[in-house]
Amino acid sequence: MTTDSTRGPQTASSQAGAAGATPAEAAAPDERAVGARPALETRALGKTYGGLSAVSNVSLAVRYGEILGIIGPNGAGKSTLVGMIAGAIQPSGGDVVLDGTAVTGWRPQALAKLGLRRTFQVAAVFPRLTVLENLLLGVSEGPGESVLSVLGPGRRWRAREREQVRRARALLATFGLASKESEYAGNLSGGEQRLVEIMRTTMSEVRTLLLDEPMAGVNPRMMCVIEDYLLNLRSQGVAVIMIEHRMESVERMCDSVVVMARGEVIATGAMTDVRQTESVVNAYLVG
Amino acid sequence: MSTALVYYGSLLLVYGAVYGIACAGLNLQFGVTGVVNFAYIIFQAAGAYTAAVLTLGPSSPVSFQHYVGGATLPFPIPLIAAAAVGALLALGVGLLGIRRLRSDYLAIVLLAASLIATAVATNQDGLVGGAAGLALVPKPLGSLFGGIVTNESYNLFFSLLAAVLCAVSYVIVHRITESPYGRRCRALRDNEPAAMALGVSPFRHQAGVLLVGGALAGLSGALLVEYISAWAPSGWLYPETFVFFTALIVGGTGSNWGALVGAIVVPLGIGEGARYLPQFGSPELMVSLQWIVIGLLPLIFLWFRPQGLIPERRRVFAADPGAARDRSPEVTS
Repeated sequence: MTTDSTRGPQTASSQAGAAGATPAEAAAPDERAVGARPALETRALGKTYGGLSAVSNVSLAVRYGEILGIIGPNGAGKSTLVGMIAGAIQPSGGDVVLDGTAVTGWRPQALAKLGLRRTFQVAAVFPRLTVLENLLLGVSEGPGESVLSVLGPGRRWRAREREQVRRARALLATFGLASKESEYAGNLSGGEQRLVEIMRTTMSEVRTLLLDEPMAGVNPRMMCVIEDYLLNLRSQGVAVIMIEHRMESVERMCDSVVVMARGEVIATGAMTDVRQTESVVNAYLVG
Repeated sequence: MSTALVYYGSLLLVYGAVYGIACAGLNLQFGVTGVVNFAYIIFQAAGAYTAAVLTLGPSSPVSFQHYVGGATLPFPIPLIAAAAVGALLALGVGLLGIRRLRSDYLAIVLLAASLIATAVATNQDGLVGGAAGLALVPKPLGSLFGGIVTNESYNLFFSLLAAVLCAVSYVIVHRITESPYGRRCRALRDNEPAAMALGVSPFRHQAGVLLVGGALAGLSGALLVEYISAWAPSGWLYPETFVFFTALIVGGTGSNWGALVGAIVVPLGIGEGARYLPQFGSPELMVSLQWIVIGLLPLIFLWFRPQGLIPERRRVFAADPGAARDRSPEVTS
């Protein structure tokens, strides 16, 4: 597999440029300017299960064109936090604000329409669909997405799908999975499934991306490709929140990090700063 | 060809088409979208009753059977109305559950709905004839055959009608399953949280397949009641739903051709096949053995051949046609 390291991998969004900008790219430049305003904020977000507090009072913000890392030992509440932001888990308290809109408690499908995409801690592919079909599902709704449009005369969705297939194939080539486009996604290795999941999130309209351990199970060479790919997304103005245990990747990619332990934020800042913090060292070493 | 053979052949064709239409609808709901509709039989029954009462004419106080909403509507209005009632009832029952319930709990609710529907139809004599059901339902377009609806010509006509309706049903289901809408339905079946995270609405997609599947169930019931001229609650008890599920598992869940093959192998094949076996024990024993076979088949197939006789086909897109030719990436098997 070859990648032009100077340009980074071609993303679906960048390829879409020729055919027409995605909504993410079409957004007003001042909105998408790096550091202009938070793409996503949480304010005192919390989740309790009975008497157990899984996440408590977490406030964070990520701007367009920024990668925010969330690190912490197992059981720190990182995935619960991402689940609440993505609408999969109802928060017990606090707010989630997406691009200035309060979206606390919104369903995942509604958030996806606002350009929020996520990956899961365990790669979530559609096992009985092919790899190419998995990618096509990342595209936002259009013609051919209702019973009436499917049963009516004509197949307007065919032309759109042609373009989507081309883009999906370009992505697969970038990640070295072109030969597996017709393979059932359930037959791929864990690392390959992870790649499919990441590619799928960026097939269209991604403005804010939540990644839950994107490097887990991925081979070292492919980690570099993922890193390049995410940095390329960042340069296009996508806001990324990334849970990751691989500190080298966090250090290379993240503009800032949030460290969590026992459901709380114990430190925030640049990776080089927080790793010196005593509470962080204690959280990792003592638990 | 002997007259008896023509009768038998057309009977098999009608029953095969009826089961085929029903299995196509359930496959769309369960095999493609993952909605475990344990109440499927009541939508077929609703269609059958609708077609019957819209053909029988108004209920008379002196008649031996009593029902609501009687009318004498010409063909094909009773069939269309049956499909519409099946669709709306399926949507109504589904709406009660799909917004709130996880699929396994929804299955339990639907099973309970099936039991309730049978109990209501059986015990409310004036609704759809009570336990005795409805009988003497006129066959459609009998006037074209001089009012004689028992001869070879009429049977051939009816079996042809059933086959055409079955083919149309499969075209409808095929268009849905091979579209982006169908792809999203299959995504919901495979991994609902991941599909939702990509913007797929479970409610909208499940409601859509309940509507279409319910319409096909209603149509199959209407076709059957117009052929056999009678319908009663004993013919649509809840285990009948599991016959359709067995058919899908044997044929191949998610596969439209598999649903058709399952419809031929299970309800038709087992029912008719038993006629050719040497009789032993009481007649009830043979019926019980059929149910045992229907119960065992899913276990055997799920263990040894979970993909069924005709597995769901892999959607392989043709190689990139290139900008010059710009051909559609047709899906091939």
